Amino acid sequence: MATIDYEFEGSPRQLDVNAGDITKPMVVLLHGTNGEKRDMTNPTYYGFNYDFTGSFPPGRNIGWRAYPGVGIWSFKLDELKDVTSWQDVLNQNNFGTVVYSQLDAGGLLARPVRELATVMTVLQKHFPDSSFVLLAHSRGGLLVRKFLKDFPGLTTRIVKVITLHAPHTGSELANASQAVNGAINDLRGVFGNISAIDDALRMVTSSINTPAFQEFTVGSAFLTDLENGEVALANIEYYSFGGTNVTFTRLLAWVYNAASAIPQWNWPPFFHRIVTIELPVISPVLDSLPNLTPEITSGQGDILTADARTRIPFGIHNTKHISHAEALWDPGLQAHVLSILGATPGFWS
Amino acid sequence: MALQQYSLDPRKEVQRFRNTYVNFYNLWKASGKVPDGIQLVSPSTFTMNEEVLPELLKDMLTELRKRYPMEAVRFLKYIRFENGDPVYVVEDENGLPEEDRILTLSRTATINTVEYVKVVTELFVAEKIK
Repeated sequence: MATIDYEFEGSPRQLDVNAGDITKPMVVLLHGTNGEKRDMTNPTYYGFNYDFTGSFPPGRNIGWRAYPGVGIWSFKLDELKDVTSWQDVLNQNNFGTVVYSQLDAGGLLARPVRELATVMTVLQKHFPDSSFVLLAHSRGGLLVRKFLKDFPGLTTRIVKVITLHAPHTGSELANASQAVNGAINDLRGVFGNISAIDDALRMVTSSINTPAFQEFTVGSAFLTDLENGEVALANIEYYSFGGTNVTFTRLLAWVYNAASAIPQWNWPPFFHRIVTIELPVISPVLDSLPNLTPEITSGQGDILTADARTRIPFGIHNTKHISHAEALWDPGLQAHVLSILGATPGFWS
Repeated sequence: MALQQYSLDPRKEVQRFRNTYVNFYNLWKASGKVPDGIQLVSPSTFTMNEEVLPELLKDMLTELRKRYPMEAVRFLKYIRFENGDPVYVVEDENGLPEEDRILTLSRTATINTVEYVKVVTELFVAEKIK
C-alpha cells in the first residue's frame, strides 16, 4: 500500500492507495455516516459481523454444584464471522483502490463534498491515465451525487458510480427518530444493563441521533436542493443497491438444561450443563422492533435505509436481502459489483 | 413465555443417576469415619414410606401411578443436602435397584437474603414393585 499526502483547508490529509491493473479503473471507496476508512478496509472493527445463520455451539458442562441449575446462565449474541473487505476483494481482482477517512463523518455533507473534490483533483493528477469508479456506502452515495453536481469538471474520468444502501430519497428513520429511540429504549428496559443487547442496538442509535442523519430526513432541504437540477452525466454508468434484511444478530442465551435441576446421589448433588437457545419473541434484532418505518421492517429495509429509497436516479438498481452492515462485506454483493466492473477474465484486456 | 424447550429422556436421566451414584455408607465405612456434621442412619431404623413424603412429592407419585400403574413402591434410601453438603444420609451397603425398577423423588427449597442463603434438597430412592 502507498499513501498520497494532500492538503484540505489547511490540514494535512492522506489517501491510502493500492495499485492495480492499470487497464482497469481505480475504485475510490467512500464510507458512510459516522464511518471511517476501515469501513472499506477492515469492517470487522465495528464488531457487527455477526454470523446469524451459524449453528449453535455444543452444550457445555459446568460441573457439580450445591444448588439446582435453573434458568439463564448468560446472554450472548451470535459469534462473529470472517469477512472480506471491499478493498481486499477489489485488490484480489486486480482493481486499484483509494480509501480515506472523510472529514465530518457525523456532521453535514458540505465539507466532505469539497474534500472529495480535492481528492479527485489529487488522484487525477497522480494517475493521469486512469479512469475511476466511485463505490460508496450509505451516506457516501449522497456525497457522490452532490460532488457530481457541484464539481462536474472533475467527473470526466469517472466511468461508473455504484452506491450501496445509500438513502437517495432520504430515510424515514430520521423523521421518526423519537419513536424509534423510544422503541429501542423499551427493548433496553426489558433487559436492564445487558451489554450484549446494547451492542446490538448501538448501530441504530449511533446513526439516527447524529446531525448527519438529520440532513437526509425525507423532504429535507439538502435532498430537495440535490435533486433540483441534477442531471445524469453521459460518461457515467449509475448503479445502486439496496437491502431488505433487518437482522443484525440473534439474541441468544446459555441456559441450564433441565437435568441441571435433578439432584444426583453425589456430593454436591447437582451437575450443571448449559445449552444455547435463541430467546423467543425478542430475537432476532432488529426484526423484533416494531415496524415503525420501512427502514426497520424486514423485507423493506436494511435497518438504516429503505430499499425503495436507495434507488439512484438515472441508474440500475438491485435489491439484496442483506442489512446495512452486511453491505460492507456480503460476498454476493461483492460478486455482483465485480461483474458490473467487468471482473471476468479478459474483459479489460 | 417459556424460555426453554425441555427435551428430557427419562431413561437417560435414570442412567445418569446410576452412573454418578456414590454409596456413602461404603465410602465412609472404608475410610473408617463419617465426616463431621453428617448423620448416617440405617434404613432399618428410619421410617420411609409414602406417608412421610412431602405433599408435592406425594402428588407427583400419584400422577406417575395414573400413567404407569405399579403395585407398590419400596423406599430404600434418603439424603438431605444443605448448601450442597449431605447432612442426613439414610443408606446401607446395598446399591441401587436395577435400571427399570428405580424411582427417585426430590424437592429443593431455597431462601436467600443479603445476610443468608440456604439450599435444602431432599432426595429419595425407591424401587417399583410390580
